Amino acid sequence: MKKGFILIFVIALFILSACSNSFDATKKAETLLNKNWSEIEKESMNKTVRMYMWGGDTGINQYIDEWVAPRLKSDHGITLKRVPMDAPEFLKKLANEKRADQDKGNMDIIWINGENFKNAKENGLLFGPFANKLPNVNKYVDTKDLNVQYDFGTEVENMEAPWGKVQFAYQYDEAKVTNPPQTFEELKTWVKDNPGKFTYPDPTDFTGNAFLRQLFYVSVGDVKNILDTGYDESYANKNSTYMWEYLNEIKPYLWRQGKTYPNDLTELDRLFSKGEVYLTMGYNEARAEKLIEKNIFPRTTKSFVMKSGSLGNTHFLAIPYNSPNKAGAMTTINFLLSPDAQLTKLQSTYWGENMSLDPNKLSKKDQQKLKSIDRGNSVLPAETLKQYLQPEVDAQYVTWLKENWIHEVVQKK
Amino acid sequence: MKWYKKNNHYLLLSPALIFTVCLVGCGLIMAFLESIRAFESPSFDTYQELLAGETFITSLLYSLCIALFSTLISIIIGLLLVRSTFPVLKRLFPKLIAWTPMVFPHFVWGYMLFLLFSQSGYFSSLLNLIGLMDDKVNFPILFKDPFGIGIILTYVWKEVPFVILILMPVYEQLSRSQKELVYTLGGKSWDVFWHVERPYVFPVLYETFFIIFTFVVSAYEVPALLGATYPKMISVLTFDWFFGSDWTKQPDAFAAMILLTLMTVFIVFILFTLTKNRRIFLIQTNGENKEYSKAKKYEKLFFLLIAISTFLPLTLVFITSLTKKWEYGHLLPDFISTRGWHVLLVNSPQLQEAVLTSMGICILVLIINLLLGIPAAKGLAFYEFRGKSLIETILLTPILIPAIAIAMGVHLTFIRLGLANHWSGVALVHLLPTLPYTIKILRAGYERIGKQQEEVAISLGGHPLRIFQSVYLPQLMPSIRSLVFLVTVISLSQYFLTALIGGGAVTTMAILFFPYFKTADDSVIASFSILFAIIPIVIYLMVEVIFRLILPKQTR
Repeated sequence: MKKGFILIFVIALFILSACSNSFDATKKAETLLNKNWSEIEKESMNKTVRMYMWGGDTGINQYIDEWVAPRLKSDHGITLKRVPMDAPEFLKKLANEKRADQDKGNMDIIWINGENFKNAKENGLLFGPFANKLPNVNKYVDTKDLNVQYDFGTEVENMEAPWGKVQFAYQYDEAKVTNPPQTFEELKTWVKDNPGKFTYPDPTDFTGNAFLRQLFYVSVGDVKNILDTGYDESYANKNSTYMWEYLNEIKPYLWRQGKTYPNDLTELDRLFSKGEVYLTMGYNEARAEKLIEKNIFPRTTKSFVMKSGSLGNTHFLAIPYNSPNKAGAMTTINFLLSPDAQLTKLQSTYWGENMSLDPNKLSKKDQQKLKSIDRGNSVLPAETLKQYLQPEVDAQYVTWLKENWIHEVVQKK
Repeated sequence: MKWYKKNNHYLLLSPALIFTVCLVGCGLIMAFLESIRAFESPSFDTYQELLAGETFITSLLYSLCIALFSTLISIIIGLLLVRSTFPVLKRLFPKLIAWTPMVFPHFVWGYMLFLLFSQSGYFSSLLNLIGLMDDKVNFPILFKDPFGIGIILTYVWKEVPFVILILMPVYEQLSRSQKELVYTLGGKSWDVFWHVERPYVFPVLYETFFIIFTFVVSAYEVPALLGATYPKMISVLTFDWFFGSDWTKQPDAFAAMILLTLMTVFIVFILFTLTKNRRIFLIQTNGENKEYSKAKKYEKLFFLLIAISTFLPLTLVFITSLTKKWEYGHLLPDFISTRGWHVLLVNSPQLQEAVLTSMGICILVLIINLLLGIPAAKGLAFYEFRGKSLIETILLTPILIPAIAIAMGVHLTFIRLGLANHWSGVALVHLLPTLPYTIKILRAGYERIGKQQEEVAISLGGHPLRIFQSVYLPQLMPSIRSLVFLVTVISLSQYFLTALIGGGAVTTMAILFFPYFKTADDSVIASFSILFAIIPIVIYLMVEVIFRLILPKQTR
């Protein structure tokens, strides 16, 4: 037994002593950022790049495995390995590695945005600034766009490169809903007229939270009021009465009388596909296409956005501070931001998600190609989407909504 | 030499003990330091806030209730089934059928029951078909209800086979002559249970109770999938704190887990101390084989019940895996397709790698389990010594403590030792959730054989290793079979520990397919569920073949 305790003690000391910084790694990173692009590309030849990303969508996975990986191999000699893992998990792993001072990790690219980026940036888990080194960013991305400069209120500062843009939309079955609501007030009336046929995911879920944020925007009057000042809890508390009253008012008319909510978007989608509810929602205006194709959603599924506005956000690719192959990571990200890769991503064959590139900066040929892409019947026209587009606010509102929803809505009888 | 002879049990126990203490110890220390914010401004505020807050206490009580009900119901049903069917269950195939629910990870089983019992599930659909119910809203709400019925249902369905697995060896050991004696003296069936079976069965039941109870209290997947929005089980709450966007909530997660751990470890320790003396007579048997009566009619009836409860969800999930479209109220799918299987088998370039890695890790975990577990089990079964309850509790801690509580400390240590991001680290960390079961099952095996055979063999001049090989190993085979099955299943379904320690460099089946579970794509999920269950069965059969090749014939 004594031996055991001594061992524990030694291990504890071991853990506690992990607080020194290594300067070698920082130096190396600096020299890499000072190199010119052709040197960086040359350095990444014949290396492996490991990309960590959420792996729950077969279309996205196939885009990486079947379209991107072979081209990277033939064009740049890079072997791309996709690792399916959720962002909170790989960030936990990265945070632990930082803590243990591990200079050489095994992740080269991570797919993040919002609060995950905020946590990663604030805890020094990222390598950079690198995005401004990428030729395709400089050439095709509108770097003045607020959606590229800010990620949920956090300044990007070239610590991540924009990979794609999505917009929030609601999906409904045309066969069951003839006149979908256009505003939150209309939604309220609709919900009361169709008891049990609407619900929204628990705000701990990404989508449920986005639904609440849009109602919150209505509640504060104008999104500008919260956009410019950053996170202000007392302002939020004062201006959220409308939102909480609204949610409590519709509660008895929700699915299962609002006694419980879907834990995540998956559950809501399942309810929609079984016809238990008539509306579903989600980030990515084209999300219904794939689900219709797989017979999960009915063929008559269409989408709409609220006149009060629809959230849009950008998601990004970043490089961990301890990536063993930063040059390869940069080359790969640059490739993923090429017009060719982005236009393929937009087609509904694989992913169907909007480009992060500025269409006006594309070549004539690519612009033509862009115009010819048919995103599917369930997707709203680009002009409509753009008209109601609204930016994301500070990531701390996400947490604020999550916590207060429990007291204000769930625990209220 | 003398010390060695006198303290043989310490030597037997030390490998397993050192391993457990090191891993759990460094994990717990780290978790504790995190919970008091030792790296910023150490204080116990987090604990105070937790204990004063309504959310934590409600969740804790809710979790305890659900765990208590799930455990009690599982044990009672398991006990009844084993009592009434054990002669049938002794045979390989009936046994495999009874164990089958165990090859599915808990959340997969929960999903299967959801397909059966949810408001738009199969039974609801059937009732609609035969005209007993016109709207699915009228079907009783069993999932995502505030009482946790769906959660309890899933756990009971999953844990009954585990109770059967643990109780089978005990019933095989029971003396038939004692039972007959009770009957001769005019005793009823109840008297037989109380006077003959209880002394053997209860000590095992106590332990089974706590294994299941602590598992249910701290398990995350099932309540996350089937739980209501409020109240949430404590595990779901801590998971949200741990993985949530607000990293300042992490100390809360660790504090909650430390409190939970302290509570369960304390209760288990008390229980072991109280029941210590009840086990002693178990090892006084001389390992005689008991005669078995022929299977009776009602035994087969009960077995039929087991078979139905296994095959019903299985059949439905199999059909679902081939479903393209299935309207509510229809008996069978309207259109079928192999798309789900196609996605898994054709569109997953890493599949082969994942299967091989999973199998390799699994077999390695099995071998280390046996190497550490056999001596430890013998030490616990045959020796009485000071601090035995404490050692028993420590050996059990890996399954009493929520995995995320110790994962962080283990990860930090493994990074330093160079074990992180490598299959060897993953294999080591898989020992945590498996070794306690191995020791438990083997210990029961040793107790069943008894100490006397060893004493006889030694007095005849046998070498310890030779005695093990020719006396104990053959008789331990039933226990080893059970543990091969259990360890394989547990190792394969580890997602979180594999993801963190393997760091994505080790692609197992769980890593590859877990993400698909987060889609509304039923045919993919169903195919995945079946594929996932086939692997442990294949490994089990492989090991079985190896045993048949290397062991003498009569010991099968």
